[in-house]
Amino acid sequence: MPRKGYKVITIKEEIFKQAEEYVRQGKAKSISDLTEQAILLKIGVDQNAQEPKS
Amino acid sequence: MLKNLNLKLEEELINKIKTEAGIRGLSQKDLIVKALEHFFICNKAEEIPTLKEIITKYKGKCSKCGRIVDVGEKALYGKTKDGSILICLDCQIGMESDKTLVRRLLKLRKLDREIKALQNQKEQLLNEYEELELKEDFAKLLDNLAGMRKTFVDFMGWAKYVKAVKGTFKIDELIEHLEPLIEYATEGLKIIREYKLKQESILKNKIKKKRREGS
Repeated sequence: MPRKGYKVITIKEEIFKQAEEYVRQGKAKSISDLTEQAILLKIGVDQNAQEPKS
Repeated sequence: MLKNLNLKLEEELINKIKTEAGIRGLSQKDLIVKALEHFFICNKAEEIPTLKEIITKYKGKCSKCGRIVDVGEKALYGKTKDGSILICLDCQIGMESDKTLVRRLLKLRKLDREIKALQNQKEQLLNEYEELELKEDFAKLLDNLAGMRKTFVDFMGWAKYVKAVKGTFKIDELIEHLEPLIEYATEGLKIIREYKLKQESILKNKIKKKRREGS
């Protein structure tokens, strides 16, 4: 099992509600899971955009 | 209003966030917020289906106003997780916010309607023309038959006269009188064949049209 760490951040309520709605709709297991997906997507997309086209 | 978000993340990901935030010159919180915002925008974009303009092959119902979209009408079509979407041209115009574009689309709609009306008129005139042509051919045929009957009657009159006066026919005279009869008969046959061909072609076109309308 990978080790888990904790992080507490303060965000706008609007974003929080959106995240809650996603979890409620079953699109993500939890807000932590959603954040993980979001981070990985953001990093992946930005890296793709930075890579020079061959 | 602000809200506290307690996240339970894998340490590897936390380290990644730290590194990425450092590279980008952002705080870890800003990076997470940006990532979340980006994620929501991307997901919304995925939910909106890509609509393409089509000319309908089958009858359908507009997903917005419920109007029946007939075969051959322009419409927008797209697929979603819940099924397909069909949007009629009127709703498409209604959705457009650019006023110049709306005006142009309305003009296009009007022109489309005029073209359709003219096409219907053309088809009606073509049918009328075909009917008149058939009537004319039929009249020609009747004239020809009447002419043929008159020639036969004349021939019979001549034959009776010759028989009464001379008691016999000369072959040359008979041939001379039979020749116009054959010409009439040939002409009559030609007209009848043309009439038959025209009727067959009209029938074929009608069947083709019905098939096209049915599919």
